[in-house]
Amino acid sequence: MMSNSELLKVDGVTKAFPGILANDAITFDLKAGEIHALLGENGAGKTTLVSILFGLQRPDSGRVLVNGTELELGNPRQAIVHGLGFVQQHYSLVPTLTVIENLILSLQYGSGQTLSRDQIEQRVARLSQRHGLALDTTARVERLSVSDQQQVELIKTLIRTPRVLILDEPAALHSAEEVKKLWQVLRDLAKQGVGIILIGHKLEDILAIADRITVLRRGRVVATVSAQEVNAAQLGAMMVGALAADSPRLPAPALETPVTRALEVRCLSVKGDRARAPDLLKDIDFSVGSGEILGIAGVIGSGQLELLEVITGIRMPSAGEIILHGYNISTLKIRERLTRGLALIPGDRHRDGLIGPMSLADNLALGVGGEPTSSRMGVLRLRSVYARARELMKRFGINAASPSVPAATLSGGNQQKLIFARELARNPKVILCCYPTRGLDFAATAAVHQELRLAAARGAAVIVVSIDLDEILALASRLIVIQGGRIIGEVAANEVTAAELGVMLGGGIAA
Amino acid sequence: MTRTFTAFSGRNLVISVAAVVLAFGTAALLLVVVGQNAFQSFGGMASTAVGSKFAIGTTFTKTVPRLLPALGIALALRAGLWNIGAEGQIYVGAAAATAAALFGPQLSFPLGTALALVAAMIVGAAWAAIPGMLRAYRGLNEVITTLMMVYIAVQLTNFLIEGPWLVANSTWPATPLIAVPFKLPLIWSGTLVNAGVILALLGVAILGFVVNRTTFGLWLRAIGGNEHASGVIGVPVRPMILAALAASGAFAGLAGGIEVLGVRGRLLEGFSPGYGFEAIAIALLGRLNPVGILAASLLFGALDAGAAGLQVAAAGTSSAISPVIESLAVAYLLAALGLAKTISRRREARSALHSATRK
Repeated sequence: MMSNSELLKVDGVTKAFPGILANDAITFDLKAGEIHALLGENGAGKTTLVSILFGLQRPDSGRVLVNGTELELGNPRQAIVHGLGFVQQHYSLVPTLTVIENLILSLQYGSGQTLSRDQIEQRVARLSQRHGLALDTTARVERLSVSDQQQVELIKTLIRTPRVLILDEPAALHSAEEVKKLWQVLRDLAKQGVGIILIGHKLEDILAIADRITVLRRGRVVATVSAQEVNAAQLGAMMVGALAADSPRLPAPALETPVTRALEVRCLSVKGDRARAPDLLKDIDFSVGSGEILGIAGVIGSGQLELLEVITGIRMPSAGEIILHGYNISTLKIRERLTRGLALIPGDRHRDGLIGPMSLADNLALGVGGEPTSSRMGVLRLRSVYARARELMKRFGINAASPSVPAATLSGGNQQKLIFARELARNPKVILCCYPTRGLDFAATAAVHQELRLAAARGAAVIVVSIDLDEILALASRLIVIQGGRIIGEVAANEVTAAELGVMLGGGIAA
Repeated sequence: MTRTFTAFSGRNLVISVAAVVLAFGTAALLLVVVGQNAFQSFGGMASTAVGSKFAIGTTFTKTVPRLLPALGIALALRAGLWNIGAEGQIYVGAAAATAAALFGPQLSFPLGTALALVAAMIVGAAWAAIPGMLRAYRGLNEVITTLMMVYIAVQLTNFLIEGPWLVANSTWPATPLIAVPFKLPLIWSGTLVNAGVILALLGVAILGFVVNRTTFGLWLRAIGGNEHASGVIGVPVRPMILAALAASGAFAGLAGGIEVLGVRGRLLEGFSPGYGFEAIAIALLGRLNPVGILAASLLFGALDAGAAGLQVAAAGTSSAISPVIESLAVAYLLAALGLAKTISRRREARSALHSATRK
């Protein structure tokens, strides 16, 4: 049921955040009755684009047209008035209220229409019937399953009879059966002329429903293709950037048997943050040798961040052991683990990596292991602190006016180099590294990769978590694939291509 | 190293001074509105604040109980912790000094005073350590807990003064006078300035040193700058939070001790008219800089001393104009800071777009 009327048009939308261009001249369109998927790895710019459509973010440039009328951007009310409906990934329901109460609550804000409780109940009943949704409106939301909660969100949006429906990762956390049901609902809606934008990264799911697919990568549109014309492998390749699936492989470092086991993780499990939530990590077992670079690949939210947090001591495991050079560190405090030779390059530089308002020199002095030079009996030796800062700036190529400038004023690449300098200065035995080049330009990326290779060459064991499969393949000699908190596979880096890996991560055929 | 703190950053100085000037201007306007001669009123204030040797001494004496707690508040605030309860720490510090002097070993002069002051600091620290512990290990908001501890402290000292420590045949609630070996001596003839002034000045130097020149201070600033990252980097965040609040309480406790041993000579009900709360304003007005805090507490001390002269010079003017000026100064400061933040955020956003699109 494809008509050719253009329902929504995104025209050259650009949005920059400090250090990263989240959306770079994005252009795409949605036709009435069409299901259009936005596909891309996390960080590709999908979420930013959707928040712009919804007026939650104001783009730096570009236009959005709904039925030919330009949308006033940066105003969420406008989006609703123009018939845009949004089912978010994280549901905004009040758990202690019933389904119907939640629906009433949502209709009181920004809808521009006042409905009585009876009217709302009638509409809900009609909607449920039409789409075969079985929803007990008197049940409290906290008692509903995740997929039922999503139905509530969906109905919440449908009550306003949107012309454009946007769903962010609707299939996440769903069983195959539930996904099938949801897809049927979406197909019905499309038949009635609703344009649907579907955001996701599970290739098979998307291929099963979408009419067209727009692939985003690093804030840009890679391509918009018809779903009939592509297969999962091609999409995977587009997502991770290896456009030619048979691109020449980088010579992977030789896979040697690690001489020393630098870090061993045994049967590590971590419970979910809330009661009844699934385990974040389950029975994780692996080891890394000195001089080895191990890559951890997985779709975001598979547990890779939690794994690094547990090893560092930010999070405590519910079971299992972490052995660093033969010593069980699983009960030690963060500082003690760092002193014993662990180093963490965190994924979120601003939140976890450095103290923005403090000077470069102070940030470097904070590093564990710098004490003998930077302080004596708890008193700072400012001259040594500055001398050491200058030396590290030189060694790691940190480009800054002086050691006394605040870390927050540095560019993303220099901030990352600063973190590397602080953590690698003590010659750690094991380096945990998360998204090491996120938001960095080409030169800074190369410098960071070089630094990691050098560290490995000096005998450090390196663990790299990245969303960029090319990066993992270029750095690591061995890969662990993680999904839903479990290790689902292990491969040598020179035996897979990025495209194959992309399919694996997308829940396709496990190697 | 962190120039914003050690050296007066030009912008900080301008903002604080401008806030004070505006506050005086607004107060002058208020005086005119109620039919007073503003010059005459301010002249009267100046006479009892800085008009004579004795007046200057009074200003100094009234500066100390504001300065020390403000230093402590600034220390905690460097770690991002709001010690709202300095008032309570002043009271328990005063009670501890009194107890040491009345019931402790009868030592000779410098030792007795030292003992009483150390007791004041320890108890002040312990009082603040309770919210510190709750914040560090249980995540309770220190703003609430430190504030609640004030009421407990005030009522506890009231109980001691009216009950077990009440002096015989007294007409109002007070403890017996403290013996000379425990008292802080007067150090400037012709004034009531006691040796506590020296301790307060030492406090200024110590705060500057600790915050800028020690690992403790480095960790303190790290936690204040980014608590989460500090933990990841390896700073022992929880013990540091506890220590920061305890140290903050020690400063306030010392102020209470000095007030008893140097000024009042005994523990009195309600001896602090809210020094600990004023100190929060002073710490902010001084922009957490030790020297800035010294300047701000001198100003507040002078306003307090001047309040007496105001009523003499301009009959009918309420001495309440002093706290009005104080409050206005803080209000203007906060407004200016808010404005400065908005401006710099806009600038940042613009330059972020620039640098991102340049690529």
